[in-house]
Amino acid sequence: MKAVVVGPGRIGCGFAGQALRDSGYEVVFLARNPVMAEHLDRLGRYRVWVTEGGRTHERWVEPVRAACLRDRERALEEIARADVVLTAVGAGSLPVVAPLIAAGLARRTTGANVLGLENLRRATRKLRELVLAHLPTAAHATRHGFSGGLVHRVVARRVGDPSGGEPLAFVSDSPEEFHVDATSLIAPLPAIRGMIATDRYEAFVERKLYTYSAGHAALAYLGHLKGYRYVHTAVRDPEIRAAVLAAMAEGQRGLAARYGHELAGDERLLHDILARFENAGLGDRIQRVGRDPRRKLAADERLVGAARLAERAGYRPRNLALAAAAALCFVDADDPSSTEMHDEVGRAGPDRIIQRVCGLSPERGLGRRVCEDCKHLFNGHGPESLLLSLRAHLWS
Amino acid sequence: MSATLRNKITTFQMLQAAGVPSPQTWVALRADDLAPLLREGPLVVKPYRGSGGEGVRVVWDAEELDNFSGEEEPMFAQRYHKPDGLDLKMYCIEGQVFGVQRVWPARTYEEKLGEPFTVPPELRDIALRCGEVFGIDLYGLDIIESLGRPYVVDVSSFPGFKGVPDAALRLADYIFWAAEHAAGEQPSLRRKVGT
Repeated sequence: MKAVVVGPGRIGCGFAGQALRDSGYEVVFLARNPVMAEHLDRLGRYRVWVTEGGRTHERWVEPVRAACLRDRERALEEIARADVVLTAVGAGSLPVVAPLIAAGLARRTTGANVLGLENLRRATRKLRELVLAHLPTAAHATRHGFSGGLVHRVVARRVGDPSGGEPLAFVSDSPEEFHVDATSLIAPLPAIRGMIATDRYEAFVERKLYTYSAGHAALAYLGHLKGYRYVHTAVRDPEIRAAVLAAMAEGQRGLAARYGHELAGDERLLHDILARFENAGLGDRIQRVGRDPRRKLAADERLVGAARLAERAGYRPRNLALAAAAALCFVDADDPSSTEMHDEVGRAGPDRIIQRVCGLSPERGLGRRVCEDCKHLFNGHGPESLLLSLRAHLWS
Repeated sequence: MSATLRNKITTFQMLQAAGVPSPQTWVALRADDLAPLLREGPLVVKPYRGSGGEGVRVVWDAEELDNFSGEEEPMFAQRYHKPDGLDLKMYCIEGQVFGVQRVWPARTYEEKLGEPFTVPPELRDIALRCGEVFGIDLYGLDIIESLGRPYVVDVSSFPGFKGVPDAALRLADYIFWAAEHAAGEQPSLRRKVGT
């Protein structure tokens, strides 16, 4: 069995490559960066440092091969001969790689499954549309299977330099399972360790988004206001911990109303998530988790989406609103999306962004709450002052 | 640098050379040498290697200098400026500046904890300049404000950070960050098990 992974980044190597090799697949990475492709192909291996409970387990992933996307002929042949194709390029780059995947699939006489391990709502539909748009005949629409891939593992960073001779390492936590959309794949399903095929894929996407991702984002944005650099220290701050737990509980209540308690999970799920945030071995940074706040503030995204769902279920999502307000204050010099948004909030106030990005009216309900919290936080916040207390709004 | 900061003579030489506002400072080998300075106002006399406020005395007239006549070490003296209010303790963690106002001398645990306050830009600049002077990330300084003007009256490396909310977490956060940088962003390899 052969698998092609497009995008040898954190999820591509730190999750997909390991799961595929553990399942006996021959693994070929396709990289946009020729240095990365050359490195992986020359060394034929890399490591995953799996951190859990204060310990780090080193897993070698070998043998692997790699090719550069610029070597189009080779890339197409690899896809044409694969049993399964996975992407892990980031949602924004899917349109870039979709034509190449389509061209590779077009050379096949049999069907293949394509899994998009992208942090994306409605990933199955988007992946299918993007690839099929470049396939020559309608026959391909039914020949191939397409699914999003909901990965639960966090791969916080890559260690090492692809231009050097040392094998790279990817620092991750331990979850191995990932969900795929059973309704849109073709038989036989890929036999990948940890894969859970479900006919409620979008429900699981929402569950992760409105509990884990909402908590992660709340932690990053509140942690940023209080000056923490790491997720694992911010979550030990009693005020932040309480707010993050409450934000996730708000999201969970909305999920329970929509999908039932069994899927939404109970309080144990939330405490398990908090325990994952405590993993210091991951060294996961607030900056990484908070990156691109404009995207994360969208109407159906982790904070506002969860808050809207909770509100529809009759709850007041005060903590999600506070986290969204904190997101409007997030600024990281290395993240242009955050600096642009921060400047805009500073210039014109948060109303326009709340309306256009969050899809909320700043004059009533949830939007008003976010707006008020943001004005409160933004007035005290600046590159030079840190929030000392969420309750007292005391600044350093 | 910790050794430098234990010596008030070199500490204040460096601060004053860098233009950090601090009280006029003198070092005398004999207590009598300080007497003429008292005509301009009281002095604060401190052990030049002291810390934690130990042995600090305000001297108002020449007779009080007799108490120091047996001293064998150089005498460190600064002009006394009557504080407008409470003592201001500033704590710095790699560019993050925290302020705690505290009565002096603090007697109870609550008094030692003091009250956090929002640091105004002028005091923040002074605090950060102190760090630049000594090239350190973790330190504390004492400031008094007198007639509206700030004076740095002490600097210490790795102080207790008393009264800084969540100080232990903030320090752990910084130390993790510093260790990661020192190790070239490698995770804690010493804890690695298994292959």
